[in-house]
Amino acid sequence: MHLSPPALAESLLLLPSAAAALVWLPMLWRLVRRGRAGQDGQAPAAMRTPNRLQDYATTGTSVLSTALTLALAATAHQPQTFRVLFIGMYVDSLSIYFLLLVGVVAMAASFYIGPYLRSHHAASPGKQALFYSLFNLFHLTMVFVPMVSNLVILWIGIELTTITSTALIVVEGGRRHFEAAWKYIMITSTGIIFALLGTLFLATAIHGKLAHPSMSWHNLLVIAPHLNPSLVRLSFLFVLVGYGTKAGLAPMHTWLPDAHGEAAYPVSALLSGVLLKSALYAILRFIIITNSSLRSTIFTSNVMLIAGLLSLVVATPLILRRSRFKRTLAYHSLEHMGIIVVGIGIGGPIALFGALLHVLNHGVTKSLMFLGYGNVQDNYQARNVVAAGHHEAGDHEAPHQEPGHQEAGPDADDDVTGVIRAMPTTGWMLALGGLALVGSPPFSIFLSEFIILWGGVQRLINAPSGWLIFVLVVFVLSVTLIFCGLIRHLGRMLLGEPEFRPKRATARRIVPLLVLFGLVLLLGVTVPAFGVLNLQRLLHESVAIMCQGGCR
Amino acid sequence: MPSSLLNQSALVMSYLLVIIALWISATRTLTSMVRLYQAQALVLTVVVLITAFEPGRRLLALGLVAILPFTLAVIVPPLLARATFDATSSRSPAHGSGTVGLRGLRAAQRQALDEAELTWLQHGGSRLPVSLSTAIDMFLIAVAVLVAYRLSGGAKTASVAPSLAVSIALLLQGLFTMINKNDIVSQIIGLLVVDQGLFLAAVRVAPAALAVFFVLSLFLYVLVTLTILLWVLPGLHRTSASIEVAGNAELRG
Repeated sequence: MHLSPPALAESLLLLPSAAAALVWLPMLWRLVRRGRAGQDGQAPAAMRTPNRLQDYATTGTSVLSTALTLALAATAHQPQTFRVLFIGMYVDSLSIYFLLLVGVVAMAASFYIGPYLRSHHAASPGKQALFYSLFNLFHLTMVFVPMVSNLVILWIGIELTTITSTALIVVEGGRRHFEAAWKYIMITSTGIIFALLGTLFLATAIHGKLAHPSMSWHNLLVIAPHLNPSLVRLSFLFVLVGYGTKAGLAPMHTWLPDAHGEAAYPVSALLSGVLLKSALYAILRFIIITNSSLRSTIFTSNVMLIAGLLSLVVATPLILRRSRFKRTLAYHSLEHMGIIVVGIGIGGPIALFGALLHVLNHGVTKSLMFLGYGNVQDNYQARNVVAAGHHEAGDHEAPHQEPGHQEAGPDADDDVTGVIRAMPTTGWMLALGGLALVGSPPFSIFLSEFIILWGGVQRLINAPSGWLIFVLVVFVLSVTLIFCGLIRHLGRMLLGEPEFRPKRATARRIVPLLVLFGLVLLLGVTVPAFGVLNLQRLLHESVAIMCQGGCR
Repeated sequence: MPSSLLNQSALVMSYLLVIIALWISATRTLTSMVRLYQAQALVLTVVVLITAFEPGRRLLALGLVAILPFTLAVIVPPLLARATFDATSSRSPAHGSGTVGLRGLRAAQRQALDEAELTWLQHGGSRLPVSLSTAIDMFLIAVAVLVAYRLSGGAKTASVAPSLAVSIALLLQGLFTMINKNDIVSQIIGLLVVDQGLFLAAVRVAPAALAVFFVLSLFLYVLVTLTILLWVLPGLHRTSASIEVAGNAELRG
């Protein structure tokens, strides 16, 4: 069967929508059975068993979505415009690159939902259905964002990601989850208003320039040179503050450690790996328009360098201080978003190539870390619950974990030691993933950081600048300090003697980690250009879209 | 009615929005803040309706937008009351009323508002003294005016400058209210003030031909507000039993 690129893109939207609805079927079936059981006076036996249909629908959707994205990458050599309902879509290489990131991370995370729910919500079929449904809706919104053509609808897409992800955080129902969700939705919703106002300023700037005004980004690109430059500059600043809040850039990052720290680990992987990049994608589209309008990259370059540098500087002490591991990983997101933004700020084909590659590298590596740590969390918490059960109730059955069971203090994972001995595969994945995350060779993040740095040096050779030297020095210093910080955290957690013998990890918990690690290793050695995955072409075309012929 | 008169009336009404926001920032009880917010939302409804009748505007689209601030004016106080009541008591206000149907619902809503007002009267204070808060608010309004007029120097955009100034002023005032107040309900009201700025900008600043997209975004923003009011805020209050910011600071950001 041959599907055209628009049909492939439409299927990418259709799949998670269908899965989000499908996962409620078992719940409805159970309600029907409960009704019958009530009439017969019998309790339904399968009420507490995790449902396979929900699991297969969600993992199947994510696997199929990744396959469709790869097919789209292989077939869509020209930008595609089409409509879904009344919404105009525009898919080019930059969109496909971000779709690929969504696909890979969502696929890995989807395999962990089943194990996560078995450990946390075994007694609540309603919460299971809700969680699966929200996960698929979150997936849908993140697929929607890179495909949409109209910049106002893009804003709507980003806001939809906020609603679905907030719901995924509060579905747990504990105090800390509500607090994290509260900060997340309040800060990002306030920030995102700036983005809408920025978009509105851009709309005001096109007043009278077109017979049929349009907010489609490719139409805006055509008339960009004729726009009011003051309004375009202000629009970009507002958009950067707005979407920057969602992208977790400093100083609007304060929601990030709380939301990443309290969310379920498959959700944390998506939040860190993809959600931040969805907001970055929006910023990239505005950069292109702003550069075309101002006929220079200097303004956006300087603003991005300041924003990136600030994130790097703020992230460094936060990573070095002692805190819960998931929070430390969240601070790493701040650091890596800073690195990506610095790369975009440096500009030019080399640094832009590095920055875009870093988007994928960070997404994959951070998913590996969050999901690997999820394995550790489940095992060590199960140990704590069993111990508490024995202590308080003699030999009675261990108490079921209630929502909000992670109510311990901020340094609650202090007792997690000896992971490498207790869970060797997960432990080694975390150790190597940690090394990758701090930019050690031969892993992916080292390669993209090196390319960004090389891009900076090239720009310095072409046009020497004290400001750029300062940026590069701070960049190198921060990355070096952060290297030491994570090694200390990982050493405490991974080394030493474990206090208990954990359950043997299932293949389902290990294989996705190995696949992600394989990607981290592969992307550290080369940028693949074989078979259906011609990442090099995709990246070069994305850089060309970013440059619009203006990069040197 | 001449278009210039409609325009002038809408402008005068929108200045009223800034004055009410100033008042919200200066007031010391949540009860007053909630009532002032209601008044502000109703004024905004009038501004949107006046704008809808201006020549070149899409009457139907703007008429639909007018429903939004009006709906928020009606539903926000009971929702805030419900959330506040959850924070201070474990029982539902509807319990024990004994009445059912619409009258029962109204009675329960009235009871929730009455009980919430007892809490609201004790909260709503600012971190800074009122005189300093007002001075900062005035400064923010001045910044908004400067930015708006500097931006709209071109002849084509000069006509939107006063509305742009009001929108930016509401945005800044709302943000300041969120930072300056001590409790979570005030923070929500701050967000709603920011929301009003957004409404005004979408209606009066955006080009008429593109208004439909911004209208869509406003509907979505209301959805976000409702997510906060219906789900997150009551849950937060229920689990922490406090509406103070300090009582909900277990996580450190």
